[in-house]
Amino acid sequence: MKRILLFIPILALIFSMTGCQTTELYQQMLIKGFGIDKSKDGYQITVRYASLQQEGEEQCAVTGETVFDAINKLTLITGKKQMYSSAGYVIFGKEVAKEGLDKVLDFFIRYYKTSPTICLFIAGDKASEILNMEKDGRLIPSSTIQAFSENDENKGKTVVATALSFISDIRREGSGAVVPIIEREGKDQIICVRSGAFTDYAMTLELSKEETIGYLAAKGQLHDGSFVVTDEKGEKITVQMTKTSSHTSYKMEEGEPHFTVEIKAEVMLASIPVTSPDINYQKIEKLVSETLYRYANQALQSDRKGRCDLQEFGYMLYIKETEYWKTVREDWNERLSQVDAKIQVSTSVTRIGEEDRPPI
Amino acid sequence: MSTIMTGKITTSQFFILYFLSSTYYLSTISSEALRDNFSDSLISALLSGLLGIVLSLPLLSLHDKNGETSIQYKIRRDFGGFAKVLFVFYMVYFIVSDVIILALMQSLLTSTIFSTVPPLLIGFMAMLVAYYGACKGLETVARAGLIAFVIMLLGTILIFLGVLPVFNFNNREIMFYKGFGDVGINTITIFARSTFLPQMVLLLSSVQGKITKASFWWTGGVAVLSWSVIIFIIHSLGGFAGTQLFPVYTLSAVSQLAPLQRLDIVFTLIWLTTLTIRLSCDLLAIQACLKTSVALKRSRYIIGGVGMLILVLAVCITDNYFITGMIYSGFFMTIPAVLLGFGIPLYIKIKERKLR
Repeated sequence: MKRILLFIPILALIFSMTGCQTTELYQQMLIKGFGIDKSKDGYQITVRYASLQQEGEEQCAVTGETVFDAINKLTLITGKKQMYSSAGYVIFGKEVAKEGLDKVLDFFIRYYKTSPTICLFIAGDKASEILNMEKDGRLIPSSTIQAFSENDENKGKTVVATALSFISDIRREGSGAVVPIIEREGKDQIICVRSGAFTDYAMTLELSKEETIGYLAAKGQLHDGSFVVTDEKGEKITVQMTKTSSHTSYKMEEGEPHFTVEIKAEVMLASIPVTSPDINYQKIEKLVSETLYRYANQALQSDRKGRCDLQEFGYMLYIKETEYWKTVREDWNERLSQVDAKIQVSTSVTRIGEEDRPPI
Repeated sequence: MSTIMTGKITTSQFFILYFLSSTYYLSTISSEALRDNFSDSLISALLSGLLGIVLSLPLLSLHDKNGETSIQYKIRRDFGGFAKVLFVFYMVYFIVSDVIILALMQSLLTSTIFSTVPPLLIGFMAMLVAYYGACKGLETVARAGLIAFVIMLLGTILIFLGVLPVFNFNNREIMFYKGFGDVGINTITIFARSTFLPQMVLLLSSVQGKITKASFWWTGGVAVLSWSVIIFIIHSLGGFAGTQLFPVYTLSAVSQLAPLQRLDIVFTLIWLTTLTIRLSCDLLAIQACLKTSVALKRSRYIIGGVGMLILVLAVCITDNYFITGMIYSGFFMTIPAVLLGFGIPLYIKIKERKLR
């Protein structure tokens, strides 16, 4: 009798809590990524999903008053059940980003089937434009888009943002957040070199390619990317960033903070012109330092102008000068434009490759 | 039919149960319960451990290491006719405590993993396992507890390893930024959700051996685990933790190490095993109350009924966000827990001293 009774919970488990479902694979929509744009009545969601028939990807667009409302309509259009666990990225249209991601991001945090580590991008214009791009008659695969957030070789040029990191940065005291901007280049190319800066969920500033590099250097996050510097004769020298580190310090003088950002870069010599007798290691280091300084300074000026504290000066005050921070936190972003901040860059060539020029 | 509680367990077996029953709350602690203030909760976790040690002193001093005079006997001896009423209070406390545990467990599973599975089914399975354990006796639960303990520790280490790639020291927050109020409230919340003192009053009679030192060590262990989990929440999730209903689940869901990715369900089920152990212990404590107060021999049918009552109440409140919002903190359980786990033993202790 006991054994028979034991079968009741076992059967209940088998039929209720297993992963076996009646939905076949072809009835499921394995979502790879989303694009979200503003529409007349709300939002237009472009969804990329795996296609079993075409061994590639398909996409469709739906509109709704909210993100979930639109996504829910997908089933009516495709007749398939959405699977979100394979979704790797969300591209927000520029208009949506400027209006504020708080209105659209909640679905990706709240809904239990989505992952907090989903990658975020901002489109140069419309998200659907990026997702509609084709190469050789086929949609540019999601793996290419997602690679901008995963591939180490890109990190010299691209910032990386996930829903987790974005929310974490935005909610941190005295801090802003950055999201990479993905945009069209030419007919069938995608590039991701710029970035959008956010204050309180709304994009307030667009950083150029150079400013993005400067921002990454100032945060000590510039790794692996190639870096070209030009000397006074116009000779181009290519180095690869092996490592950057940064340290921000401050001094309180007359009740006001004065910040110093020290950037230390280690580079590997990738190529120099074959006939350049003037080039030596000190010169290369100086050129790289000058270029990084210029980029980092541009980024800093833009941050201050755009009232977006990407260098986290405010966070530093919150941690170390808490009482002072409490007095300035409300209007910190407005004060940012007047804050004194200096940048110092030092570079060392740590790898020179197999060639013996310039002489050591 | 054999009696349900057949014998004694060792000190280490008991404190493994104690550890699991005290740390179960971590899986269902919400950022709202901790007032979105995880940095102050680091202090609260340690203070809660200290509070647990201090409040356990009268109880520990009443324990007879030879197991000849149980604390239940002392309650009957010192409270006379009122003892029965007291045991009813103990039972009500355990029932309410289990309703909260089960409701939170159902809430966790339906919010994060099995949104379409009815809460009744999840709760039924958990209660069935807990009841089966309670029927088999404290030794069986203790043996299962050892396995659950090892799996739980391994699972927790794996979660910590998995989130190391997103561990960010820049997520550090200033302690006492909003004053000291949150520290106090969070200490009480953590204590209310994790305390096992009232259960110890009823279950200690089954433990043979010295317990005072072990109690301090294991209470310290609970505080250290709570502290570690909160540290990982702060540095791996940062402000994101404040948006999450169950940040510990989120911690397992953001694992970045390839072999550990998508194993959040496994980790969750490991944590839920500890909840089942706690439910079993509570049912055994209810059974001990019944046996002591009304000398019931076949109390397993009654605790089966109590289990059903707990299940029904838990299902009723799971989908009621107003009530679940209240029980996330478990704040209102503090006073009963202190009265039953500290007040009653203290009274007995004082009376014993006076008699001497």
